[in-house]
Amino acid sequence: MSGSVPTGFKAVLKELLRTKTGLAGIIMLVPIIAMAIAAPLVAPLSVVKQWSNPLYWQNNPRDAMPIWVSWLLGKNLPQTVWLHLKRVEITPKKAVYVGTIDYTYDDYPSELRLYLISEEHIDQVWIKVTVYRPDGLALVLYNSSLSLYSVKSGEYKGVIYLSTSGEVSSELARQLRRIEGNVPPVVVPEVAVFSKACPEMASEGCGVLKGRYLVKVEISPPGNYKVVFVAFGKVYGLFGTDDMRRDIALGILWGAPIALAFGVIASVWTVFIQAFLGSLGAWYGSKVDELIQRLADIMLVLPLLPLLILIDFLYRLTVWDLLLVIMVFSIAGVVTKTVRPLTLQIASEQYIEAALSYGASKMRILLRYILPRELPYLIALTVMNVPGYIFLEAALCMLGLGEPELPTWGRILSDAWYAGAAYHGYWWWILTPAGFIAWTAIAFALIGYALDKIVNPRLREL
Amino acid sequence: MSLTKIRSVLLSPLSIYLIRRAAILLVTVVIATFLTVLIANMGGYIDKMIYSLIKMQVVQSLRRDPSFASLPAAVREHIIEERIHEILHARGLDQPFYVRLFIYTWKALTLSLGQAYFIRSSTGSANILDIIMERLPWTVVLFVTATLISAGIGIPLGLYVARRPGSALDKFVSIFAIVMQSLPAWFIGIFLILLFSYQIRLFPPGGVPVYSGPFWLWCLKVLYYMTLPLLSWVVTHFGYWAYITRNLVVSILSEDYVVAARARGIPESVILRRYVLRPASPTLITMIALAIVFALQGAIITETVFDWPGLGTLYYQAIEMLDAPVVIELTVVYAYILVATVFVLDIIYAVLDPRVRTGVR
Repeated sequence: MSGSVPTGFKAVLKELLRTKTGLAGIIMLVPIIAMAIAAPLVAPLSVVKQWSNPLYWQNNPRDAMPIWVSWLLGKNLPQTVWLHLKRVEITPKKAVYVGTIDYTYDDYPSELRLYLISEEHIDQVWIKVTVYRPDGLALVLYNSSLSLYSVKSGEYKGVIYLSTSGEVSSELARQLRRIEGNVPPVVVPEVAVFSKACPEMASEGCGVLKGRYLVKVEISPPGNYKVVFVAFGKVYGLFGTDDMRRDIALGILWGAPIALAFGVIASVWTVFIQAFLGSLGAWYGSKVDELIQRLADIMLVLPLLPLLILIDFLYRLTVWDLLLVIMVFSIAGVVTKTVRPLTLQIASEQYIEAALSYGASKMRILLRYILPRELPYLIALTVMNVPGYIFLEAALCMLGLGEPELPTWGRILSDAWYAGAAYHGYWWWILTPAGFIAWTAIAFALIGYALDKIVNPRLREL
Repeated sequence: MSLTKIRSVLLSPLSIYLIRRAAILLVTVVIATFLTVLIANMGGYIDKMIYSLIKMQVVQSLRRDPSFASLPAAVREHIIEERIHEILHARGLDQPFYVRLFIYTWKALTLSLGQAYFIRSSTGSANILDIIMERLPWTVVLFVTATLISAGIGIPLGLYVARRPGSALDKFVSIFAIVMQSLPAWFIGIFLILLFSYQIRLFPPGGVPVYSGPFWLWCLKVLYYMTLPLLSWVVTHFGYWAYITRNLVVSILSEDYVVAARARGIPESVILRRYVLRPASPTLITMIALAIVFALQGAIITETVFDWPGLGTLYYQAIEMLDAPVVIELTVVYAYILVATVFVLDIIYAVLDPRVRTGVR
């Protein structure tokens, strides 16, 4: 065996950068670390704390694909259009608001909605919404009363969910009968409004009618209103949205620091506490050794995953609680056993004997001479163990025991799984978190592999 | 056999060593069981839940009884208390928790916990061993097969690349093994389901077929349902076997006696068979044995993702339903299997290792 096992941290790092796999692993890890650092700067924690609050994400389209899919398919997929209507006319009976959209997208919107905000105390209005299409056809979407409710003092708000409202579909069905020839059984308003006129326009559509649309809203009683017409898109953000309209990119971004912190802390603690106890036992010998090795035996027989599931199930742990529980249950284990022969080998070397002879205390020798010699080996182990912990968190999420508040990669993945994303074909919702987990795990695995080769000279020679 | 001979056998270094190991392993199982019982009952927390559940059931069943409603309040209370006590006594729940902790541990260790709280086998039996035995074959079929296939592909591959260290194939196998080993089977399973069940619609996304028709046809059906879980397990594990075998063989090939054998002109195939495989096989056999033992535990998440009705899903269901006896018994059964394997391996090593056999250290 060559005696050139690098001992210092810097020496190991230098060797690591010299190997192809180590370099590849580090290059893969850099963007993840950058994400972890950038996360708090891009979106403050207060935003992420809203992750489980469905109301917070109402302004995003549901199940939207990533924005770059447009470019990938060579199709101009719709983005969300927010149309703030302007008042053009006010009479004693009503106020009229209009606005125009230049709709040039190649697909229909995913949803239509109308917001009405009054600055006066009005809790009931009569409202008529008409869309004048580029082909001259005028469609009345809504012609009925609407209740406004108080959101904050002095502001009254009403929402018409044009895509799901029964009023809208029956109103449209009546008007489309002339074009379709009979009463269409199903009306999809966002298609009916933006499709070329044809017999199938009520639900299937026959191509997007591009051009300038004019939205006219008449409100009675007249007053000062804020009227917003929203045509939700089919693409959103870097990684799309989920069925709760959450921006997946934001969850992924925040998942990075959580995954790194969780994986690295759990791994460092596990390897180092186990190595410390194992070495301590081997170095002090006799009863201490016996006690520690038996503890490791017991810990190895305890089924860690089922117990974690049990504890998680009973107490609904957050990721940080989970981390704590893992730390408690990994005080002794495999590493306690594997460092033992290593310590005995180091302990029999002459410089240890020399240190003993000039009166160094046993603890000092352990901390200053024995453990540092084990360090490269321990670092390699630590790095190799990180993916396991990231996957452990994801695995608990897959059992529905995930972190209840913050977005973790595992939680996004399990949300997708249980929402039937695989069945519905929402590939981005599954592939994005899965991709990030796999990417990070592989990065650590490659670095670990390279380190293993560096610290195990037998593997290196060949 | 004379008494002195028995004594000499019993007191031989080998038996002393083995008896000592057996004692240590036994104590380990006892302590591990005790801890599991403690955790699985959440320090009495589950008892309180069961108590309130029983009370609710008693009150509800008595409410439906019209003659009960006409009784005075004090008598009604008394009857309720009595009924609850009867049920608690029947289930052995009337003793304080710390007493039952030891009773539980003893019962768990003797595999006589008896009845599950909520889970039933498909025949309706509440007996825990019945429930476990019903699930065990599924886990054995899936994971033992998966382990054997992984090792069956991985070990020959490892042997092959070990003879060409540093070659492109060697590097590829190593990196492939490292990458795949860092991904769990359930994770690959998700992708396989996404691809083969929802996109191509070639394989079912999970579950097992209901028994019907001729046995051989049903076996084929089971195999069909098993394809995806099997594939996900093999893909994530065979690289690991190849990598471990390769490292083991490479390190043996660099031993002096192998170099000496080569120098004597012994053909490579003989060297591989006699000088490499022979020292490598105990390690590989140990690894296969341990892998199968670990496989028996059933992979909870993999089974859940594939909806495979083995011990892993049972474990999870038991936890989900707070069925503490089932959780404990599964843990104990598993601990026994693990410890028994470790002990058998100890015996094999002890018999093979002259230092242990002779007592010279």
